[in-house]
Order: sequence, then C-alpha cells, then structure tokens
Amino acid sequence: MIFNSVDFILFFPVVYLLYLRIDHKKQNILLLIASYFFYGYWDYRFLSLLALSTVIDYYASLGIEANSENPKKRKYYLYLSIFSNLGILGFFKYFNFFVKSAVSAFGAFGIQMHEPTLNIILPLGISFYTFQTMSYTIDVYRGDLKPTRNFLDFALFVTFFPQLVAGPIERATNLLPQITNERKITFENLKQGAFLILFGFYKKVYIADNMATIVDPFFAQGDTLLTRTGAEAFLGSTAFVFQIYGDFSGYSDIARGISKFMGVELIRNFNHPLFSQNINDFWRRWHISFMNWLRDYVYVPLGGKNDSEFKQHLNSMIVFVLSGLWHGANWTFVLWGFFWGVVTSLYRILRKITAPKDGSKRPPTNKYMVPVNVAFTFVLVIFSCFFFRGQDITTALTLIKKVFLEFGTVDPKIVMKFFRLAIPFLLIEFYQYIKDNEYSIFELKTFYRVCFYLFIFYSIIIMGNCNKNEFIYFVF
Amino acid sequence: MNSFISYSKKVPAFTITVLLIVIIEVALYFIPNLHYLEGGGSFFTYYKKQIAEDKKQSFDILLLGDSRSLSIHGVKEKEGEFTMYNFSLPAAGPRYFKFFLKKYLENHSNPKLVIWAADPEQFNHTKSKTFDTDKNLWNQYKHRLLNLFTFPESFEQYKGGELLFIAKEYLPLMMYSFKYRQGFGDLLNGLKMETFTNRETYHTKQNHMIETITSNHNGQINLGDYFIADENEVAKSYVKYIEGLDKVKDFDIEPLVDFLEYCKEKQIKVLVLNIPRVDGLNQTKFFQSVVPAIREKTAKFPNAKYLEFPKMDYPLSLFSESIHYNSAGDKQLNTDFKTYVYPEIISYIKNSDKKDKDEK
Repeated sequence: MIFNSVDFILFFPVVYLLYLRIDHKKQNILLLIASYFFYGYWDYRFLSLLALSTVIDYYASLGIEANSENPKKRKYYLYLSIFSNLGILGFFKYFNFFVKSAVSAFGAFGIQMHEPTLNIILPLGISFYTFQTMSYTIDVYRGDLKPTRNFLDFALFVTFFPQLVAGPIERATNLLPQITNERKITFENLKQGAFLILFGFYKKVYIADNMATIVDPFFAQGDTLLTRTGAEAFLGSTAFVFQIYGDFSGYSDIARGISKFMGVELIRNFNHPLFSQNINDFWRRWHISFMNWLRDYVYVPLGGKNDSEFKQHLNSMIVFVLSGLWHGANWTFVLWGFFWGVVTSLYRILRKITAPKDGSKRPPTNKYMVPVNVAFTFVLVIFSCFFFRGQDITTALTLIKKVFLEFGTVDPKIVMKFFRLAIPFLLIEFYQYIKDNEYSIFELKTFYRVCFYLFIFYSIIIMGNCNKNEFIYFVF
Repeated sequence: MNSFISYSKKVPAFTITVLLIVIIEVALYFIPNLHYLEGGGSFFTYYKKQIAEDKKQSFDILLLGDSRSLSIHGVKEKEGEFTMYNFSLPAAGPRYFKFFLKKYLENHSNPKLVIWAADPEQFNHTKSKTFDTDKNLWNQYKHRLLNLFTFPESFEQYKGGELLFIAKEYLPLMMYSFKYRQGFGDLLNGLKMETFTNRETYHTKQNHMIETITSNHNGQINLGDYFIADENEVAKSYVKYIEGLDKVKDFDIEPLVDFLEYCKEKQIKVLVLNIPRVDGLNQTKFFQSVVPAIREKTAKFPNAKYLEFPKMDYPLSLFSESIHYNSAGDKQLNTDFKTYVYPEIISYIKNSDKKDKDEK
C-alpha cells in the first residue's frame, strides 16, 4: 500500500479510529496487524521474510543477553543476525547483480558463461527493515540496549507501518520505548502531524511526481540520448534533485506525521539539505537516519576519526561505496558512492590546507560567501545525480560530457515548468531553514497561513500527479 | 461538539481553510459546464452524456460504437427520414453500451432502432478482462467510463472485487476540483494544447469547435482527420497490426449477447453493423473467427439483424494510421453508408414494423 492511494486514505482512518478507542496493549496488537496488512497488501508472499527477520533478531538478541559470560556464543548470535539479514538482502537485492557482473568479468577474459535466469522480485523496503533489525541486535551486543522480552512489541518495532517500507531507519533506543510504554497524543502532536502529512503530500505528488515528467525524457536511453544537449541534461539532473528530495523527504514527512497522530516520534530524516553550505553539511542533512546508521555501525567500527589520515579517507570511501550499493544493485550506484567518497576526501584535504596555521579556530564563513558555498554544494549534488539517475554508466557519462562539451539550449517551456515547481517550494524550504524550524509556518499570521494551506492543498488536488507513482525509495 | 469548537479555536487558520475548501467545492458543484475546461477526450464524453440525458432531444436511430464508427454521419431531421444520432465514443470498451442505452431510455422513449457498430476487435479477449485485474485496460478506459456514469449508475455494472476497485476510483471524484483537475490545472498553468487540432489553443476554444462539428453532423467527428502520421510509420504499424491479429484467435462476445438480451427485453430492434477496415485485416485469424460468431449469435435474436458494408476492405490509402479513416476514407465510408447501408436500415425498420403489426 502506498500513502498516495485511495486505499491508504481509507485504511488509515479506520485503523486510527480503532486505535483511539482501545488501551495500550491492544493498540500494539492493532498496529502490528495493520502493519502486516499494509505490507501484505503489496505482496503477501513477502510477509514471511518480514516474520523471519523478526524471529531471528528477537531470538538472537535474547541469545546474546543470555550468554553475557560467553563471548564466543554472544558472537555466534550476533553473526546469526547479521548474516541472515545480509543473506536475505543479498539474495533478493544483489543476486542478479553479482551473477551478471561475474558473467561479464569472465567474458572479459574470453570465458563465456550463461546467466542463470532467476527472476527475483525485490521485496518492498527490504533494505530498510533489515538495517533496522540489524542495528537492534548490534546495540544489544554492544550493551547499549537491553533486549525486549515481549515478542509482539519487538515485531511491531520491525514492522511499524508508517516507516516500514521507506524509513526513517529507526533505532530501537528511540522507537522501542515508545512501543513498550504508553503513548500520549497531545494537541501539538496532532497539529504538527497534520502539517507534516499535508506538506509531505505536497512534496511527493506535486513536486516530485511533476518533476519526474521533466526528468524522465532527459534521462531516456536510446537514440535520443545522442541528440540531447548539455543544457537539457543539466536541467534533467537538477530536476531530479528536486524529485528525489521531494519524493523521499515527502515520504518521511508523511510517515512522521502519521506517527505523531499515534503519539510516536520518528527521527527527522531530512533537514533542508538543499541549503547545505558544504559537503559534510549536506550529509548531515540528507537521509539522516541512514547516514547515522553508516556512521555508527560501519565508519566508527572501522576506526572513525581516531585512525590515520589515510585510513580515514579509505573508511569514508568504504562508507560511501556501501551507501551507493545499498541504494541499488547497479554499477551506477557504486560510482555514485565513489564520487562522494572522492569529493569528501578532497573537501577534507582542502579544509586541512586552508585551516589557520597557528591551530586557532576557523573564522566563520563570510556572509557573502554563504550563497556561493550553497550553490557550489548544490552543483555537486546535481552532478552526483547523473550517476544516481542514469540507467547505466554510459548514459551518466554521456550526459556529463554533454554538459561540458555541448551545452546547447533547452526548451524554455520546460525551464518555465521547472521554475514554476521549484520556486514556491524553495521559498517555503528557505523560510523553514532560516527560522531553523520546520513548523515555522505556524508563526505566520492567520491570513498568510490560510493562503499557505490553500495553496498546498489545491496544488496537491489540482496539479499533483496522481497516477499512483510509487515512492522511489521503495525499491532501495 | 464542544471539544470540536474548542479545537477549532486553537487552530483558526486550519479551521478557516477547511471552511473555505468546503465553500469552494460546493460552489464548483453548482457552476455549469465545467467540462468545457477539460481536454477534448473528456469533454466529448460529457457532451454525449448530456445529449443522452437531454429529455428535449430524442432520435429514431441511435448508433453506438467506438472511434471508428464515430466517423459515420448522423441524420438530421428531414421530412420522411428517420433521425439518427451517432453516440460512438472512442476507447471505452464493449461493456458500457448496455448501460449507456439504459441511461438514454431513462430519459426517452424507445428508439426505432439501435445500431451496434463497435469494432469486433473490442471482443479481443485482452479487452474483456475485469478492470481490477488489468489496470492498464482501466487506465485506457477510465477517463471515459468515470465521466459517463455516476457511482450509483456504476453500482449495477460491476460486482465483487471489481466493484470495490471502481468505488475507490469514484471516491476522489466527489471533489469537483479533483474531478475537473485536468482543466483547472491547464488553466492555472496557462497551458495551451496542441494535441487535437495541431494548433495551439485552450481547451475551451477547442471544445467549442468539437461541439460545433459534432452537433452539425449529429454526433459524428472523424478522428483520423486529426492524426498526423509518417507514411513509413503507417506502413510499419500496418504490418504489425495485421500480424498481431493473425495470432489472436480468442475472443469474448458476451457483452454483445448481454446487450442483445437487454434490447430484446426492452423490445428494441438492433442492427449489428460491421464497418470496413483496412485491406488484409478481415482475412486475419481473429476476424475470420470472431465475425462468423457475431453473425451466428445475432441470428438467434428475433429483434436483431447483422449487416455489413458492401465493401468491407478499404485500401490503406484511406486510413490515417491503419485504424482510423483519413478524410478520403471518411468520405468513402459515408458515401457507402448513405448509398447502401442507410436504405437497408430504413427497409429493416419498416419491414419489421410491418411484421410486428401483422403479428398483432
């Protein structure tokens, strides 16, 4: 089931009305059933995978706790969790990719092999829930968390429907206590939740899905790729930044809004990344729950900032390449990760070179340089998107080459369409950014707030693209 | 109620917005002719629906069909002639005819004859699936079917899972800003359409033009006049089209049988009319099997007759893209209709009227 469907618009009020009428224990049972229904509505066959992941991690974490005196057994339970989650993920997401890559590699050496024809469907949101459950077991292993003995509570932590298929990737330290303890629904919860849902839909069906109509033709493969101008490619990639941001942050906002209605606070996944002043700033603001996951469970265990300069660069490269692979089984994503690994390292080197020689604190950035920095960071994001959105490496590289060598022109009508979509959105985001408050709209006078709500509402209803486009991150 | 009021006071902007939305939606409900804002395809459906529901206009002969039969001119009121209105609609599937006729009958007395002129290709088994199992099919037809019937009308057309599916499709249409969103959206964006007339124009202007043409010809408009296709592409698509139908043999003529049953029950005469198609198509396996089946089924109904055009194979030069007639094809079709088919229709009506009288 997707949020932007009539099915969900019917599903949620029914669940919510029931939710309001029952006690905490029953609420959890209701949410668990609703979550399984929500997921099974897409394809009931994959419910077993969800259940399997839940059972393994529940028992693995109890096994770790029960063997606190036996490090060998503790490790065994930890590996059981990690390998089974990565095994599920590897088989469903990466099997075809690795087989294809191996066949091509053997082909390069003159050894011809046939690809096995195994048509594997990618289960929705598999990368999200496997990472979430893995983090739980790792936290228990590290002693950061006491495992829950309530199986139903744990099952709900794994499957909580608002964030099940596209995150935010929750930590048990945040979500599990909210499941275990009684939840309170405050007036503030409802107000903020309603705003997040409305704004999330605006980002998804108005911004992202309309931007897609600009992006798709410019990234289409085939003969037209050669006739594309650099300007078209650049506009296409810029529109894609808005599309992916609107799509993913829209989903996260709706997920958070729905959760707030039930008294649950999910982690904020995006914090105005389009106004990032440098690369580090960007990665602190973009897909926060995932980047935190990589930091805590990959970067830090690899050595983090305590390692040598060279190892820090290497570790950061590993993190970004893994991040690329997490997004999809395609070499374009690997290259996307590699791009960010290189750029991050270059930025770090540059920071070191330009740091004050006397070891004093770096002075704040000149206010006139801020827009330049924001624009430069944004352009880097645009270029990375050639790899992220391109169907293959050839398409991505062809388009980048066009930007530098054959810039040409672009249909002004499409440029106008882009600005019509982007400018109001940027203005809203900018207002929230400078106020450093995503609910800053509430501070406006009543008249302006009414205008704002009407604008958002009718943008969704009239000009939203309601062709039931799924969220891009579902397939990651 | 009290808690609702106290909440409303806490969120005045939200409350005012909700009230304004309610006012806007109610106002839209009462504004007439909003369908003129919509694109040509949707407008055409609303327009024909209005004619079918207009109690002041009635016709002796109704022609029901698809985008190809839409090329047949209706007959205006003249002394000694029967009036005929062409209610054909492009791409709406074979299942709606019975319910469209029902809609007409709810507002008028029985016509003298109903012509079923839908192309037998509509019976291709790929087009007879239920909409909840084939969403692509629904996407092809939905903008017509949803506009043609209200939800209560649709309630009797579908059952089970399909009814649930259709109900969900109707739900957002309760908001008129959503129902006419294409028109409002284009208007707000200041977009001009180039699709139908190949000239830049707003929907409203284009729809008035469609209305004039359609009204002058009692429901007829030749869609092929507005398709511009490259000759090579036409030749390629022609070969593909023929090849495709030479492979398909399965068909489902149940919607026609259902329609004939309904007309029999309502004591309405039906003429199942087979209209010319591009050379080679009638010889494909599909048409070789479906046409005899239609003939055979029609013969079983005392109130129905099967009729073909004298020439059933037209050369490719009379088509714009191997399906729809170009202007030369349109001319040929209407000449053949007027010279051979229409007199046959008249004599069928008169003879069967006489037979009915004699039997009484």
